[in-house]
Amino acid sequence: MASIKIENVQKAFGKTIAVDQLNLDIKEGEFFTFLGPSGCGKTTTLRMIAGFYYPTKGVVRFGDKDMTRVPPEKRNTGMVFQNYALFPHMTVFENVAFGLRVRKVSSAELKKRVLDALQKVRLESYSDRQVSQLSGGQQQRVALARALVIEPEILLLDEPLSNLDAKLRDEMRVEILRLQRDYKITTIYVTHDQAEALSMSDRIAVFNYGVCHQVGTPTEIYNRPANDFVASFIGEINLLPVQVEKVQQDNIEIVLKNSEKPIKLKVENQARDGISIIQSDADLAVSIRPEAIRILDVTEEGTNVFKGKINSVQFFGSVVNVTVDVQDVLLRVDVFNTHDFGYFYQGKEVYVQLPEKQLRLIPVISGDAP
Amino acid sequence: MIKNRDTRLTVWLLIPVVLVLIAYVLYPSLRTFIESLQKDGTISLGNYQDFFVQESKTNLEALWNSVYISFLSVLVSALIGIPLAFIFNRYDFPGRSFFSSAAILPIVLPSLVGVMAFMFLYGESGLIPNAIKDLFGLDKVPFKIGGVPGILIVHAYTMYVYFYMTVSAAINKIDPSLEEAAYNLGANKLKVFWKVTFPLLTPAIVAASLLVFMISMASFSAPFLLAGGYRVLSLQIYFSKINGDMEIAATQSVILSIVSISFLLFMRWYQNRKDYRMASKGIGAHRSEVKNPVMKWVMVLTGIIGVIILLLPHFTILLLSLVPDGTWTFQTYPTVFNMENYRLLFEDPNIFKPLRNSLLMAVIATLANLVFGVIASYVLVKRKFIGKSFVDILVMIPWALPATVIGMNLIFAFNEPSIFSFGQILVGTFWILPLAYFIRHIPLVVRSTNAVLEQLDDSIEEAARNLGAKWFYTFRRVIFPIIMPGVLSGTLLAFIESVGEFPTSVLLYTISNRPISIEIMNQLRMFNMGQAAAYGMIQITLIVIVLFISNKFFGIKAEKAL
Repeated sequence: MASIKIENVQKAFGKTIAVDQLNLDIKEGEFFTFLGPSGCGKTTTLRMIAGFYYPTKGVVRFGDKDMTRVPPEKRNTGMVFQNYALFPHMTVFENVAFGLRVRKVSSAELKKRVLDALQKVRLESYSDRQVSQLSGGQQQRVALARALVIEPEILLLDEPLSNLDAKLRDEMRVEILRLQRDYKITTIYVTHDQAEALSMSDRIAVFNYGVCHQVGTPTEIYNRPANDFVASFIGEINLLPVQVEKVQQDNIEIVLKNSEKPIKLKVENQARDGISIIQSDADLAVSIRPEAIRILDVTEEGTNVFKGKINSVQFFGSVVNVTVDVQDVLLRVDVFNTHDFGYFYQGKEVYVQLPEKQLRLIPVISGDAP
Repeated sequence: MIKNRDTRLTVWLLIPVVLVLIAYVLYPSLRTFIESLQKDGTISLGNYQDFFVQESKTNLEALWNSVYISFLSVLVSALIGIPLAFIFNRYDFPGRSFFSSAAILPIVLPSLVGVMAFMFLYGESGLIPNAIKDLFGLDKVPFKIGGVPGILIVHAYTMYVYFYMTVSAAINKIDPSLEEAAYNLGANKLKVFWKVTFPLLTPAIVAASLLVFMISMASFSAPFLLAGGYRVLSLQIYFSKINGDMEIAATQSVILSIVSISFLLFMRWYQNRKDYRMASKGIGAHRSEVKNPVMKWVMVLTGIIGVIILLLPHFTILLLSLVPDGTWTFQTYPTVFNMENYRLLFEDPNIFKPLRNSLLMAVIATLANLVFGVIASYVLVKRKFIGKSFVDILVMIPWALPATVIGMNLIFAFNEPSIFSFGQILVGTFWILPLAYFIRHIPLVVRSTNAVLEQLDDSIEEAARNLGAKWFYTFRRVIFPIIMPGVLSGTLLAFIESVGEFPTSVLLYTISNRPISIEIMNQLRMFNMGQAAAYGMIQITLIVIVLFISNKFFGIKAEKAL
């Protein structure tokens, strides 16, 4: 087990910069996720940790050891590939034993450890099968066993669930977490699936265009996104460009930009980052999650209450998704299905409240493709 | 020093590959080019001037004849191969799959043996014309092959397979829903064929045409035995060499090379330019059953007749090999059949020696091909380096160059000591023929290995290294075992082609080291048809064994490597 430090790392392929100015500090035993759309640099970063790429600039450390230019076979990491990369000419047993054979483990111990690993992934009865005879989920578990049996310092998972169907994916998600807890191993998980990232990780790093935008726990990332990219990449969100009117002790008054009749809002003054955002010259947006907006039948006293008209209603089972038009601004609102939502229909006039505490001012960086 | 280990490894693997290619592909070609510029001891373009403006025009005529024959060969092969590909891949009728595998039978016939079979079948004293003569009581044989039609028939027989195979592959790749979409939009059968199916097949047809054109430009055995007084360029080179006109032979070689290499480059350009790769996955077979019973049996009957025609040459060779020499002289048909020729082949050391020579030289050449092919292919497919397309072209050059030219190149390069032959003169020694066979089959082995390596996902190698295996261990235990079937099927094919190789052998052989093909030629000259046919049968048997092994044990269609 080891911690990982990535210091000022840059990776360029010719003139394209795949990863830039990356600093990460991954703790021992942590389940750490790289999240981002395809081509954002997350896999490149993983491959620099595995040793398949060497950084153009910067340092990669495992614990205190500088691993920047150590070849992959000397890093003692266990990697699970997106396509599993099982050796097609070997049986399940031979696949799992490969890393131990390279390490010249005695045959008695090798057998014990391989069977032990196969048992942990519940495949002990499949050890003599050819890998081509296994289902996708089973192949996935062989790949996990093969990576874990060498007792690596770090487990690297490159979109391991993307080739599985939805039901199997849920099952393997639990399986991977269980194994990670069992082995207490530092794990880096690469995915573009926000649900996987939120549900599995201790911490998440959100990437786009080779830049890491935010590092934080799932709740931090979801509730307090650092900018509009993080906000809109993870979950659904209402993002509205705004201008600051007045900064007060406990709240900030803002005006929406894209409305003929400007809507004025009050936002809680988040002392920690609010002021610095306002002081920077970035464009600003206000964000609110659909489930944070309240729909009211009758008007209510309080801040940020507006009259609007229901534009559309979509039923998703547990959640009803309602779009409300407030002076030409469309707000998405998620309401739990309480089995009597029938009073929502297109064209109905309602009131909405945007709670002060749930509104966040964030900088707009989108479209910043370098 | 280079810091990155992987880069260093690439360099270490690349050095021998590039050295071999420079020494045995590039350098000999350059030597021939330099030789062609020598005229009466000075450097000039005099030889080229002679080639094009010579009064007798023999060279120009030979060039024109070569182009003419090649053009007709493409046409005839296409007319046989494309319809066959359609019939076998689009219609279902009894025996379809048997006939479709029989369609590649001409491959199972070494070129020299094939031409020989055609001579005995359809030549002046051939079995078929004489049978017809006797059957209808004619005064003389109704037809005999020879000259241009003879060459064309042999070419059509062997080369339609290239059309058949490439077009079949392309037909099977067409997503049926594309045609269904066209029908759905209201197009009739003819319109769908011309507007959808045919355009999708164009790349395959163009590729096959270029290939057949190149192969018939290089064709040697057919003109050698059938041309009579008709001049083609590949044969002219041989005659110039025999006559000792080395500068002229060099000039002819350079001109033939230029034609061939421009075709290679054109083909590469064409294939990279247009790529109708199908977007859809998992395309099912798309054959319509022939329901009309008359039509169905007409097709089956045609199939059977076709297979008989395709197999007649093989059968003729088998038959002739059973006729002891000296028993078939003035008779129209042979009368005595026994195993005498085979007994002599294995008992008389003088008759066995050419077979032994060929096998030994083919083993040496093929082992070299295997080692070189695997390294070169690995570097080309899995490693990045500057100048890759240059190395790629060097690898493909022996494929584009006619065998006669490769033979001449080797003569010019190694009839004097050079650093690439460790200061030895190779011409006139044992080693020149294995070297020639090796060079001839570089592209075949590299390309068949490329095909399997391209299938191999990079992550397999990465997974092994991630688990702690060093590169060489990974290569030995993971990569090589996975690609071995594909590599071996290509290598075995190179082996059988080396055993039967004629054009380079005829230019480079030594009396003490005669290969099988030269001995066949000699036996034919002495009218020992039986012995020649017995040699031919040995080759056919070898080929059958190899194709069988490849299909059975490696699950790979060896002919794909062609």
